[in-house]
Amino acid sequence: MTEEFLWEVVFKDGATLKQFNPDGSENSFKKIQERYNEVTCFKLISNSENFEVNLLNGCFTLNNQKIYFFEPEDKINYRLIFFKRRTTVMNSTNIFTEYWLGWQTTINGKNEKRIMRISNKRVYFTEGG
Amino acid sequence: MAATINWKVYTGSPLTEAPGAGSSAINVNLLLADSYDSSGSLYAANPISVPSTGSNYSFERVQRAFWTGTFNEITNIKFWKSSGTYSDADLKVTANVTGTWAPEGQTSGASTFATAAIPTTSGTALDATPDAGSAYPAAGYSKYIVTQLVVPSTVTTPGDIGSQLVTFQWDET
Repeated sequence: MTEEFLWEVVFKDGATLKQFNPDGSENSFKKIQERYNEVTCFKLISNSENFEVNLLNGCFTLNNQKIYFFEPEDKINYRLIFFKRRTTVMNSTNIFTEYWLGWQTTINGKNEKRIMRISNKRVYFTEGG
Repeated sequence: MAATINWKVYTGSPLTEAPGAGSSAINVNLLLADSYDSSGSLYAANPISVPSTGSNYSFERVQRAFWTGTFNEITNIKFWKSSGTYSDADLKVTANVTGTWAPEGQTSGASTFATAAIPTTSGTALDATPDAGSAYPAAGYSKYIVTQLVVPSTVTTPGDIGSQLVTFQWDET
């Protein structure tokens, strides 16, 4: 199965990690989990679209359009959310994939989430605690 | 890269997995035999008849998903019947999930485990995420899903009940 989007991550020290290395080998998402608190930016890149979440200021970027839920100057500790939601029915080779990308944080003791769901060429935002 | 899902069906006691490694089950036909319907035709020879009173039952059908390939974690595993209508409104498929399934054998009597109607929406889906937290650093299984067809005496339109689609959904990194 070919992924529609590939990820790329930027860490606090400026280092980047791409899903695939130049030699074609693949990096496990575990490498990101091992440095979760150091992630500053997470990107999903396809041939025609780019989506990213900036964990320094909570900004979502959809093909260069920036979206903020809180003031970027606010000192908020954003934590990365990313997964692919797969769905398939029995006896089918088709697997439908949605990409879920966003952050969670704690504000005044309350968990806050903002997630961008990329599904079938559409983008949906969901909020939750 | 991505995980590859294989659907597995279990029969007998102790359980025997089918089909073999690298293959995925083509159906979970509910029939009056504790057998995997690998040809898709076994159900016709093992029908569940309409009783004069009470209900008749298929053997409990045991299945689960098995993931291989390249992935980091698989979590939030859901299972439900996503489409299909029964030929008679009184027919019923029941379902339940468990991390361990080790009865003396699947029953063709009324299941004491799969007693609730199989969910038909993702919002009410059965949670087949393993108790161990859920995630696989390597190849691994969902929980067991046990289903059974219930045929009560009130059924008036016997025959094939038609295909029903069942769905697995999971979150993957």
